[in-house]
Amino acid sequence: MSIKTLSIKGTDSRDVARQAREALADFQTKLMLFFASSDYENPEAALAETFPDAEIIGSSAHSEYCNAGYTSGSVSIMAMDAGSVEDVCVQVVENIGAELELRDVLNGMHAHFGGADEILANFERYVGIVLFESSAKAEEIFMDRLGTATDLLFVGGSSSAADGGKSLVYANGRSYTGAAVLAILKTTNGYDVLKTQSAHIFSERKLAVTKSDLHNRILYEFDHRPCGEVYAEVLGVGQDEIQNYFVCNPLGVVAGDEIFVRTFNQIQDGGITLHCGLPEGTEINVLKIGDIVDDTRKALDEAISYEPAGVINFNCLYRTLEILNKDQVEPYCALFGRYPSIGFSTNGEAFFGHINETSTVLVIK
Amino acid sequence: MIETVIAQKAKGNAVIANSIRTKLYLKGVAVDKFTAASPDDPAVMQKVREIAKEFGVIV
Repeated sequence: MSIKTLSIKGTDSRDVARQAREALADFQTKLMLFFASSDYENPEAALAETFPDAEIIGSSAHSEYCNAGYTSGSVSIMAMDAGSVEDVCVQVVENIGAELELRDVLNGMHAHFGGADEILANFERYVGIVLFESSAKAEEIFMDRLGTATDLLFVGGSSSAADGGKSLVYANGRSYTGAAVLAILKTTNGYDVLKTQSAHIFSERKLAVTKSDLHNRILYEFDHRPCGEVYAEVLGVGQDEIQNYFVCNPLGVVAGDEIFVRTFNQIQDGGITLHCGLPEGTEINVLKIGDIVDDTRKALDEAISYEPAGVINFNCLYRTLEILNKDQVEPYCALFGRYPSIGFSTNGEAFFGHINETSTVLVIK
Repeated sequence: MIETVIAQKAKGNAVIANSIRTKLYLKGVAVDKFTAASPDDPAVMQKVREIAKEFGVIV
């Protein structure tokens, strides 16, 4: 077994690390990925002390997934040995709210593996993980810069926290705010990435974003008209009712067969704030939310026709709340219980760009 | 112009070509809306030029 998954509840972080050491005795962990309830203080330090030879990255979490289980107040751990990950390079980019230039960081990471040409020649083996600390609200700009600096595919999500907890990401035995943790994995047997958003096109009508504030995630106009007015028109409802439709009818950038969801936050400052900014010029469709369990099953079954070594699920917190509300936690988790898997409830997901109300999944073969 | 950016950046790799296409959508260029016969839109052309520069390709 080249990947082991653990769900641990401990009295504190040291107890979690101790339990992990017992469970992983005789396992040579090369890379450890963990999602820790924000109830735990300094889990990164305890794990780094316990597993000094492993690269360890992670994120705080509102709630955690492991195999067929959904928990809060626990730590989900995925330990990968050389049977699944041949090599890994980890970098932390701090202060991601500032204007970013990521070329030097990515060039350095490429060089770790012998350069961009080596990566291009073995493209099917290299994949990136990105973990954002979510308070910076800069993920869409970061993902845009990342996509400019590298051809590698990065998948991941943004940290979350339990009520009253602190949102953090972890690497190098330290915790970070306003930062992104990047890891490039040279997998041993390859990988697959999938994305499922359980959102479908509600209206074929394309709406062009003609006025927006990308950095502050405010949408003002579609087709040179107030966006709320146009959104109401598409839905066929009164403008004073639109907030009732924000969750069930988000927006989506439709790129070929892929939908990239942008969810609404609230009406504000003459516009509508989103959980992900939209650049002017973007064309969007209004979406409708479908059945999360059915759509996730279809997406997993279509993409995974083999026995994977491990599956990492970055599942939007909105989706977690939705399956909790609909009493669908058990069937949802059963889908992931078919594989060694971990996941957490994210405050945004990463796949080419920053997206919402989506599950991005990294499958390690 | 859009296809030139994709082709130059992808260097013949179909997976990368698809990913560049997606990145263009997310940058606000609705790739499939335009064909070689589409009338020139100065704003879109300027945006594509800027993206090409970011990608380090010449159009």
